[in-house]
Amino acid sequence: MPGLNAGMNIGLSGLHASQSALDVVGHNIANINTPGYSRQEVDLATNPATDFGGHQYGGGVDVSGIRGVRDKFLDLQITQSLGSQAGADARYKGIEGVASAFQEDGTSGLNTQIQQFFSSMQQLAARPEDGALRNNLVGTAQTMVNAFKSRYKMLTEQIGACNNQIGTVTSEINTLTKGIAALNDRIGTEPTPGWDNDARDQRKALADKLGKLVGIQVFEDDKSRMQITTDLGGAVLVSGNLAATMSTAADPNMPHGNFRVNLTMPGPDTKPVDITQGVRGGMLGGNLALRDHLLPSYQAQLDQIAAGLTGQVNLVHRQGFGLDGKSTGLDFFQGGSLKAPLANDLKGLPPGISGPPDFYGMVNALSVNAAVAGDPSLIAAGRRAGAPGDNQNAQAMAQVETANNQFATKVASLANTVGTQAEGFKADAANQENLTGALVTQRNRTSAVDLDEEAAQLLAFQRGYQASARFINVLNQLTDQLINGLGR
Amino acid sequence: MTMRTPNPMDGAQSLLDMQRSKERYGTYVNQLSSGNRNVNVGDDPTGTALISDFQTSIDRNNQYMTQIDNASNLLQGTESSLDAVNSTLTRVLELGQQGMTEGSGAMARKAISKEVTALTNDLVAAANVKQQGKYLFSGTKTTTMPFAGVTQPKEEGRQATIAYHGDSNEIKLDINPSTSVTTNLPGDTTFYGPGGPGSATDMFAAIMALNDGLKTDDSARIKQAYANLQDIAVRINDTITEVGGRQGGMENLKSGMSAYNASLNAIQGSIQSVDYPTSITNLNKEHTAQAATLSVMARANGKSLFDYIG
Repeated sequence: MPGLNAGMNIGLSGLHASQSALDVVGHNIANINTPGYSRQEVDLATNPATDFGGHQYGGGVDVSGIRGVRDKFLDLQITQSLGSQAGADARYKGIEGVASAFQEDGTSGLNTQIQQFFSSMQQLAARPEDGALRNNLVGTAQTMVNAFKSRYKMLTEQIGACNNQIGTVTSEINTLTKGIAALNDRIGTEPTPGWDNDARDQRKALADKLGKLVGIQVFEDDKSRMQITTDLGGAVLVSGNLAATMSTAADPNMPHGNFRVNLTMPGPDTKPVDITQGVRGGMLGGNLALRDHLLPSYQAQLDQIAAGLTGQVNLVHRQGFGLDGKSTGLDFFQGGSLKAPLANDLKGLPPGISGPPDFYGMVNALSVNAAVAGDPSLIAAGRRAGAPGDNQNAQAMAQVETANNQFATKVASLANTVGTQAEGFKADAANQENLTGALVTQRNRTSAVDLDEEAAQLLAFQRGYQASARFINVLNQLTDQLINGLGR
Repeated sequence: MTMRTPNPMDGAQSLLDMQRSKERYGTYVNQLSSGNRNVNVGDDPTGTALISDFQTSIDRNNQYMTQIDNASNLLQGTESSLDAVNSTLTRVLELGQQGMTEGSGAMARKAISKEVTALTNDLVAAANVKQQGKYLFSGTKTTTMPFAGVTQPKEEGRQATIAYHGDSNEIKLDINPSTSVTTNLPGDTTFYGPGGPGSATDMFAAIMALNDGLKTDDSARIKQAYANLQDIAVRINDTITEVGGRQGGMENLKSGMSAYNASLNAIQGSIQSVDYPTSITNLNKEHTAQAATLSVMARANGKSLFDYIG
């Protein structure tokens, strides 16, 4: 029944509604820069009307809900896109870190060192009896070997850096997946769907962080809980309120002390799932690709060039004689325990190196034969014993380089491969960045806080509050008039 | 339809644009300071491979040109030595002519013989010439003095001669991928001639026979030795011409390689070197873009409704 008391309640509901709406505005303003935050709107609805005297009297206003304004699918797309961007970015940065080693500018670079070695060989061919030129040849050979080794070492160090990154990222991923699982639990048990906006926003922020660390596929189940799997292979990272634990496991079959990456779901009977080859995106996917594919492929090509070059030089060197006219059958280069690359039957660049045993690690094992380095008179420049002016063998060794242009072409090809891949990943990262940017722009149009909008809301609800207060004040005056004014 | 455009959007996109502009700006700065168009390996991978290929060709040509110089030096030394031999032989032939004159007596021939002995030593010295530590006429036994000591004939009709201790092997140097040049003249073929040691073509045997003829006043022997020496002098002259010919051919080749390298350098430079006007223009463009972006960012965030409330 309408009346002063009922009016008071209507005024009070207006005050409550305006106060709640102002709180939401304040919350929006406070979170304007919070990552993952979606602006909130207060949903107002009229209270049920009261039927009296054949008329419906309104009962004021009520806050029916506080709604986060978000596009769920856009949010998921952004999370996944961030993973692709981070994966390409990690690949590009990893390659960029070693790219300087493969720069061939004509004055430095591996090709230059190889050319200088063969140039020294040609100089020796002009004066094979000259001790200074023999010393010079040993020097340029060692410089060339060092050029191979320094590049190989840089790659090995970069692989070590990838391993460090993978280890660090793994523990961060575990923290994030646990956080997401806990928020999933909150969201899955909310009293009404969409009730816990802030949990969704926090989860979105964590998922975005997770996407940058590891390539993921994300979807929501019927209780709005995020289900997260790896982007390749579909190993489960988060399922409802359960988070898998990511761990690393040493594998003696892997080079450089590399380790495998496993995922284990909680539970007594669960077994670790090997995801080493099952992640493409994120820093983890990028670093795994660098560690297991990109950087080793550059090392393999260095091994291939070194094995081909040293094997062919050795093949010729063995046929000649040193200055003493007696020493013969010596290798110019040695490969430590790697006998295969220095075998007599090596007639060119060996086929592609995929891993042990082949010529894998050739560069690491490579050195100038210590006997030759210690006594350059042992360099077999001639084919005839006791003929110090004979240069046939030195000529033949120099011809190894020019025979079919194989080393120069291969080194140029390696530089081109590194450059093309760096360029490709850079473009890929930029494209993903553009895509993510476009998605974020789209998301911001829906979900970001607009200060002008909030200011307008602030004014509107301030006026509403003031009016409700004024309405209560009027009712209060009427009540005062009624109680205190009567009977005087 | 009005698109909702919240405040943070402008800043984020502008910041991204700004970062990219700064990256390009840095690239142009590096290009201009280094003079190279490709400052990062990913800038132009194909260009990097081409530069490497061109440089390899240039380096190889330089190596071959160095070999041409080495071969030329050796052949010049050989030619100089043969010139000295030729001059000496001319004098020997003059003395032989004097010795053959009917009026010359035994005493006069003995006197001539003394000079021939000295000239024989000169010829041996010329044949034992050494350059950069190697004997030029000892084949591939370049550390062994080629001519020393007298060897007596072992066959009928042969003369005593100076013993040869080198070998008959040639030393070749590659002066381009498909051409090599012989840089030496083995002493035996050069000075003994096709007949071999002690034969009529042997320069040392001929001069020693001349000397013997002069000492023993043997006109017939002097005449025979003189005739042999005349043929030998012609052969030595021919050899000098041949050595000169080898050098001339190499000079032509070197000149061609030098011109080719100049072309390769020009092509490589067109790929590698920065285009200064373009890079400076690009640098200025980025500078202007950055200033404009900063100005716009400052203005975009300048005012909101909050500034007018209260």
